[in-house]
Amino acid sequence: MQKYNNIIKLLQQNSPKLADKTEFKAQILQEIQKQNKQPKSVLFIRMSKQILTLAASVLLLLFVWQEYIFLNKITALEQKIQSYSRKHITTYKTKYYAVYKILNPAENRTINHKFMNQKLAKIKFENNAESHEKQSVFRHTIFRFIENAAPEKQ
Amino acid sequence: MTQTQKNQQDFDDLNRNTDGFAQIIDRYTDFTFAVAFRLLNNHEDAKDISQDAFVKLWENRKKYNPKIKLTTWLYKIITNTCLDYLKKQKNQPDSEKILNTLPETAFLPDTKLENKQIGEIIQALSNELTPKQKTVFVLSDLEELSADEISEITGMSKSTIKSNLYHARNYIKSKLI
Repeated sequence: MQKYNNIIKLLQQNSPKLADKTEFKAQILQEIQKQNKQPKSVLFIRMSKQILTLAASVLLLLFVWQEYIFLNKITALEQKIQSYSRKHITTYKTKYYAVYKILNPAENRTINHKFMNQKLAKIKFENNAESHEKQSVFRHTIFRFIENAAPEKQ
Repeated sequence: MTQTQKNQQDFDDLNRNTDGFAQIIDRYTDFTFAVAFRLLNNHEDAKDISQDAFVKLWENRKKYNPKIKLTTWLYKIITNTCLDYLKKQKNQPDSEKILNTLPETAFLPDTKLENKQIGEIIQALSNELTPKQKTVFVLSDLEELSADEISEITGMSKSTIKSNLYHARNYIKSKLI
C-alpha cells in the first residue's frame, strides 16, 4: 500500500513536459493556417451537402404529399361508390351507370345499354350482395367495364 | 487572477485571431501533453494527440462557454482522442518486465523523473488496464479530478467511474506487492 501511495505521489509531482514547444506550436499554427487557406472549398462542399440534403427532403415531402392526395381521392371514390350502391342501386345495370357518372361527371352521355347488357350477361351477380367478396367483384367488374366500354351518344 | 477571469481570458484569446490562439497553445501545451502522455505513455503519440487536441479546439472555438474551465474541455478532447487511439492499439509490451527493469530509486517520492521513466512507470502499472480503467485512474489519481468532473469529461456515470477506479487500483496494487 505504501509503495502504491509513493508511486502515485511521485507521478503527481512529476508531470511530463514537452521539450520542443516552439516546434510543437509552429506545427499546430501551420495546420490551422492550412485550414484557413481553404475555407472556400470546404464551405462549398459543406453547402453542397446541405443543398443536396434539402433537395432530397423536399422531393421526399412532395412524393409523400402526392401519395396522400392520391390515396385520399381513391378512398373518397370508393366511399362514394359504396354509399351510392347501398342506397340507390338495385340493379346491376344501374350500378354501372352510377359509377360511370361518378367517374365522368362532365360527360352528358349515357352508356351503350346494349353493349353493357352483353357484358353483364356474362357475370352472375346477386342484387342484394353486401359481402366483402361480392363488393370486391363488383368494383373490379365496374373498373373493367369502364376501361373497355366506349360511351355512345344518345 | 480568479477562475472567472482566467476563463474570460481564454474566451477572448479563442475568439481572436491565430495570435490569440498561439497564447492558448503556450498556456496549455504542458497540460495537454501531460494528460496525453499519462494515458499513452509514449512521447510521440502524446505529442500527436496534443496537437490534434489543439486543432480540434481551434475548429470548435466558437462553442466555448466561458462558464466552464477550458481545461475541462481540453480534458474531454484529449481523453476521447486517447481512448479512440488506445482502442485501436493491440500490441502492448509485457508490463511485468518493464516494472522489474526500473531502478528502486524510481519509486522514491522526491525523485525527479524524466519523461521516459514516468512513461515506463505508468506503462508498467496500467498497461493491462482497459482504456476506460486507465482513463479513470489517470484522471482521478494522477490528475486529482473529482468524480463529477470525470463524469463530465468522459460521459461515464459515477457508479461506472467508481467501479472502473476500484478495479484499476486493485490491479495496480497487485502489481506492486
